Amino acid sequence: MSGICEYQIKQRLYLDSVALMRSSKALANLAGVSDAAMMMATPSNIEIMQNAGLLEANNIQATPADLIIAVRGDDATSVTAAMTEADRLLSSPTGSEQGDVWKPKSIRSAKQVRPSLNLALVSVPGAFAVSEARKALQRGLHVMIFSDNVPIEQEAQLKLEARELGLLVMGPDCGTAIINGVPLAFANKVPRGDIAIVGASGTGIQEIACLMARQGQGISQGIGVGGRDLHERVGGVSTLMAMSALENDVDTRHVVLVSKPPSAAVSAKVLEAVAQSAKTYTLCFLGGEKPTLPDNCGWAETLSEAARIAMRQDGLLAAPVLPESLPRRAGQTIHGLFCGGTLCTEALILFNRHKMPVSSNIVMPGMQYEANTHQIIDLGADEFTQGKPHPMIEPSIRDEAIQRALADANVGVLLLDVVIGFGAHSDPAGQLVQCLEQAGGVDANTQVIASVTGTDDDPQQRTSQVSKLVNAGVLVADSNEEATLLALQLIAAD
Amino acid sequence: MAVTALRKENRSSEVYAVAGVGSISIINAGLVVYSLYASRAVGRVLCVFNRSAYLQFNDRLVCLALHELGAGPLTAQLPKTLTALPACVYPDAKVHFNASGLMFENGHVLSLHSANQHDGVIRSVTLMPDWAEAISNLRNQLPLPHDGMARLFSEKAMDHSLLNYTAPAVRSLLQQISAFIVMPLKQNAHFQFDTEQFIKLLGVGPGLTPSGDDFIMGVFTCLNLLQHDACVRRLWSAMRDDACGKTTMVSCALLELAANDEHSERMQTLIALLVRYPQSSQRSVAQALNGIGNTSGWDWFAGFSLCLEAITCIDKSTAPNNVPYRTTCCV
Repeated sequence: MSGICEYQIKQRLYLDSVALMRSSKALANLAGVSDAAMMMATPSNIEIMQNAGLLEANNIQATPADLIIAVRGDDATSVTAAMTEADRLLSSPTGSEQGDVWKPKSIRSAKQVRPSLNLALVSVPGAFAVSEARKALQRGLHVMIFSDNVPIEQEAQLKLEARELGLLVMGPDCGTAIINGVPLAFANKVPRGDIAIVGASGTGIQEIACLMARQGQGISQGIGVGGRDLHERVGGVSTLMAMSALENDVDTRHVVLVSKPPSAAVSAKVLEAVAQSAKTYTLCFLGGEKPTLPDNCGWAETLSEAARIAMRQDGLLAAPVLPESLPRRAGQTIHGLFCGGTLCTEALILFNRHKMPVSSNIVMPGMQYEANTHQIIDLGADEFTQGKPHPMIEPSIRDEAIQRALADANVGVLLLDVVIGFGAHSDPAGQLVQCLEQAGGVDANTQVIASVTGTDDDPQQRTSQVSKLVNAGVLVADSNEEATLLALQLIAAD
Repeated sequence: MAVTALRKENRSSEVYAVAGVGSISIINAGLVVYSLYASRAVGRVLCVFNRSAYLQFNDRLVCLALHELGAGPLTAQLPKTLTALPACVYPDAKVHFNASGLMFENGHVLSLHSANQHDGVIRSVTLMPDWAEAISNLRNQLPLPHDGMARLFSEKAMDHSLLNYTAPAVRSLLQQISAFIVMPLKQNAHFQFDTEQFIKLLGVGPGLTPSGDDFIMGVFTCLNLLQHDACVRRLWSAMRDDACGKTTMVSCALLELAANDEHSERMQTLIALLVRYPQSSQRSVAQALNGIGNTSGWDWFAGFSLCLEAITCIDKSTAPNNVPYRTTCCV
């Protein structure tokens, strides 16, 4: 049979028979093409193509899951043109609405369209996050994993692989980063400055950055390394890489490091890196014992303290003053319902400092736990968020718990956090007010105290959020620390 | 997610009653979907079409389909309100079952409307002479498509490269089925199908369920319907090992289901039509055939009809006038 034959195998590509027959006909109708076929590459189809003189090769490496395109043409130019047309037909988007803006559906296509991209934000269910992150790393992208519920073994392995490639993995279990002034995932609009925050805690980074921003202090970078990065099994891989990167960052003067208490081995590595640094550091290992610190390093027990020390202010907060008009709640309990895990931990630390026993879903060394007393609950913990949105995205998740607490005569103070910014609910204060109204409003039995983490540059505007809460009878504190201290004062015996 | 015994609740009593003899049953994928759901299985999207997508969970397949496509042996139906597959369903996307339905890697959750469950009893029909003739007449009146195995009915069949290739395989298959059926039971226990020729039907034709496979499914349906299920079992076990390497994964799964007498709702409607109203519904049958894939319905009908013809010829040669054709193996 005269002419030139060529074929292509497209691995694991399924098309229905209508599409295949249409495409086959379109190819066969091209100038200089005498015959063409696109079929699933089953042995029988390959044999038919061979019998029809479309395939000259005998040893075709294909499986029935592959697609085979075979073209016979008058000359090489015609055959090549037909193959190019086949590629075009196969890559044509189908079923999209006219006028739709094309959005890449994969990391591969995003990188193809914008080769200069160097960071991927992975926000998929935890079971799939690592494989998606690997795809990004393979393409030379740093990764931020917004997901939670990622198995720790997978996290550890992934971070080691990334380190080998000289790439940073941020997250998981820490949905905040502000890179070169760009807020990623749960983050706030804060000014640029010379303080960097490396955090294993998303809301920790947010609270510190926002407290500083409200005093005019900006940050150079906010790097969320992942809630378990300083865990022994992960080994602080991302934290140490972030510290190393900041060491070379001329815009960074001071680094705040915030995390749950690390394992002893990881803590030693981190402290060694701090000691060798030319920058100054503030360490805030929430709930941890103060280690022996190098000279260039300060120590903070709470997020607010970390912010103050970084800004070269006195670490301890002067006791906040309760409004005279507020009735004291001695004998009643505090019920804290938090969206931010680190804000919840900060509250626990303050309870511990005041020797107040609590019950909580957060386990902290040295904490006095006791049933039927004050409750401090992190509603963003994995056990509450599996298969559900995080309460920072959907604050109504805590509505039921709030209403239950307000109906409980023993609860004297309801302590809440409101976190705004990118990625958060569009109006968490409004949602909270609505919930309180549904519960009959703030009544004489229970005082609601809240803090609002955010800035006026955030989409929700902190001032506006605070006003809504104040108008509903909520006592709004400047920080989570202050809110907790006010709550503790309210229930203290005279 | 609702996993309902749709067929059991709604359909069994009215399907396939013929000559006063019960119904054939359809087992379908409810249990597969349910077990995947219960195990929170993780899989990936194998391929996506306009109204359906196949999801692969290790060696199991689920067809995620718009409600309008009807139930099927591999089908998990989406809610009626969805008129198009959502954008979250794209090739290679990872997916898992969770409490809300199907969760895709981009965080989208699709709730499912239903996945059918096993219907239970398998019954067959008794082959009456006028019915077989009616099917034959119907076949001769139907407007045949230009492609696929149904061109076998045409006098110009051999102009077609697909049919050139498959005709010897079809001949071999039907001859061996005839031989198996007329053989005394004691002997057919040792009958070995010679697959060399008819194995070439597997994977022939374009698309996800190649024409040759649909043809075989039609043969299986006909044999099962007429109680020659032993023949189907023997035939499928002879082909099964080869099938995985010779056709697409989806088609292989559907062949296995057809061998077990499991079909889609659309196919069941077609079978019911053929069994109950072969004389009065030429247009309906054509519509039903056109409604199953591109040529899949017609390919299936070719297998069904030619197999029926082969069996009828056997029985006609031995049965006295006006006696129902025998439909079971000779003892």
